[in-house]
Amino acid sequence: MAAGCGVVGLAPDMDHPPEDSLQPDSSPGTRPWLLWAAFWVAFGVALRLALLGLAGESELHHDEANYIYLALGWSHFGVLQDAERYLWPPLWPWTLRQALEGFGRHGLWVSKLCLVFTSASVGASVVGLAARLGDKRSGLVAGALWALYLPLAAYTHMGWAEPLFLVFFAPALYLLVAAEQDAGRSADRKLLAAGLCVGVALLTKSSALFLLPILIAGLALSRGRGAWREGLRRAALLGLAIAVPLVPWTLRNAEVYGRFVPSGISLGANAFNGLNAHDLNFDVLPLTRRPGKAPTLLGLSRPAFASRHPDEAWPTAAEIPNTADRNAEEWRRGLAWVREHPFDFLRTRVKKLADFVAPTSYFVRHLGLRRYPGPLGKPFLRRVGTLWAMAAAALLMFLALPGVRVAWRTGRRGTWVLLACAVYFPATSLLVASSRFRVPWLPVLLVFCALALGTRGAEGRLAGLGPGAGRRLVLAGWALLLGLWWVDLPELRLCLEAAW
Amino acid sequence: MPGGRLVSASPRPRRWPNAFGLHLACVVWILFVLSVSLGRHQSLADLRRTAATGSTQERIEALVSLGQRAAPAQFQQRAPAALLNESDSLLREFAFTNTFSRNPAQRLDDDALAQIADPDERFRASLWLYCRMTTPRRVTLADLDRWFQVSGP
Repeated sequence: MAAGCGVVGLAPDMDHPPEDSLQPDSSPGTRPWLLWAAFWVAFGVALRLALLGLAGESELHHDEANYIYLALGWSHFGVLQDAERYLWPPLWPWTLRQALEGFGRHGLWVSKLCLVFTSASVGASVVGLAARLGDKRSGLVAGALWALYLPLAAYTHMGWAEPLFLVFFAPALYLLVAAEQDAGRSADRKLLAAGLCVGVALLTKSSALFLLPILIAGLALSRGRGAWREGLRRAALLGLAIAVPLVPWTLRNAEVYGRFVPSGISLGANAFNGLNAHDLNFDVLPLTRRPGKAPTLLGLSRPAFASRHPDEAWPTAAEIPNTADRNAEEWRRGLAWVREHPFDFLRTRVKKLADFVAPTSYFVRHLGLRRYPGPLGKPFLRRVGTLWAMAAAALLMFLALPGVRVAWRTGRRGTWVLLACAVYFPATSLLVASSRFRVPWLPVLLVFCALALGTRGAEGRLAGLGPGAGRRLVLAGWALLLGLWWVDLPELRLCLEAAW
Repeated sequence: MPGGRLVSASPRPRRWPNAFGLHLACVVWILFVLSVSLGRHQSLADLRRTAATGSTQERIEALVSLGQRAAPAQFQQRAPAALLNESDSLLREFAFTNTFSRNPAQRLDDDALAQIADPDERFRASLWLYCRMTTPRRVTLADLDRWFQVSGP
């Protein structure tokens, strides 16, 4: 296995590929290749457009309703309020506000239409990433996977902030990898653009906030000891570019809450959900609340990994009016619970990780809750959609593992960016987890999956499964994944039954 | 060098923006935003001082300014509760009238919502209830239909 992937400067340069049977071609795209890439991106947008039409206008669900309230409140009072126990970053409420002010009642549909068309940036970024880290064929495979990956496509007709987050975050990842592979002025411009994109993405969702120090440190170290000054210069440019969109919002929050909040405030509320004696899986919770339809969540989950004393859950700090102060207090209560119940904490982390990788999605949940008034909610399409979405989610995670091995062996500069994301987002699930928290992870999985399917070894087999070092790690990863799916099997069965 | 032309040693002039220029542009932007924020901070401090210690008329004006443009979320979190308990009824009514409601006699709880005759006013009051995290239920598509029917975008 080619050692390192750029972080410690051991990765082979583009000019000196590793001595391996993998010799991918990452030269600039030729015209037919670009046309095929454009075709898959256009196909993905068309599929999302069709889903929007087939879905009909579903009733607003929980956070979707809160986002609408924020937009309306902003529009009528000129004020962005807190969303219940959270401060959400402003970009998605601002987008909804513009749509509602411009198009009235139809603004809801217009905002979803915007999500459909802007999702093309995610598709293009995924194609570019796979082509840069693998070869042109992998790029096209990535495009096809992105286009056909139903759980992600379905988010464009829902009212959450995730699809807008990806519109900026996926290009940021591509630009970072491209900046790592390029040199000179072109690399600097890409770094600047990557930083701006990351900053704007954080104005949409705060889940990637703690990824920033990892990215900046990785960039500083990626040039190795011989060029530490260049590494620091690049890291400084990335950090400054990220700060450009974030600083005004951070100062506004300092003015309003008396604390510097660079993106959003959700840590304390998530600690209430995740570092507590109760267990909340938002993929399943609404399904268990259907009258007379299902057992409670407590009775459903495997006892070895579920919370056992939900009545002992610590309460929210509702008595503190300042959201930032309340957040800090709830985080403190969450950590206190961890200190007092270390075994419960560890036991339930398995469940969190299982919830994170469970091959279900909010699309399946919507189908199960009969939320689609359009043709998508009819039995035939509902069943096809359920099978498609669950199979796609399972296969994506399963095939991404050999893809990681391919990326590592290929050893392209910049691979570390995706590896960092591949570890970071599952780590966030140790606090609170559901399939929706997997959305920022999906571009990374799509690229790794494309590398697994698109790259072939010398003997023509899928390179990720071939003999050699790392094969056992892939097998171990698969065993772990199957184990986690087994942990969540009762919940998965409920999702499937409800949607069927 | 008589009769000859001086030839630059560098192959070509460096084009703007170079790496230093990109760094500089980011730093200038951040400094600009910081300076604007400092100005706002000073003006807010003045407003808060006036809202706490001024005459009734000055307090009214300061609170309305805080609520409408200066520090809305802070106003949301702290001022309304203070206003509802404010012994100076003139102050309370004036601030509510100018800030969030044209019907100062109404207490903004859920029961009062149904009694607000003006649909636009009811909509604003409902939103305000939500903003104070006391709304009993979430917005639905039917709410949207009704609100946009009555109040426009």
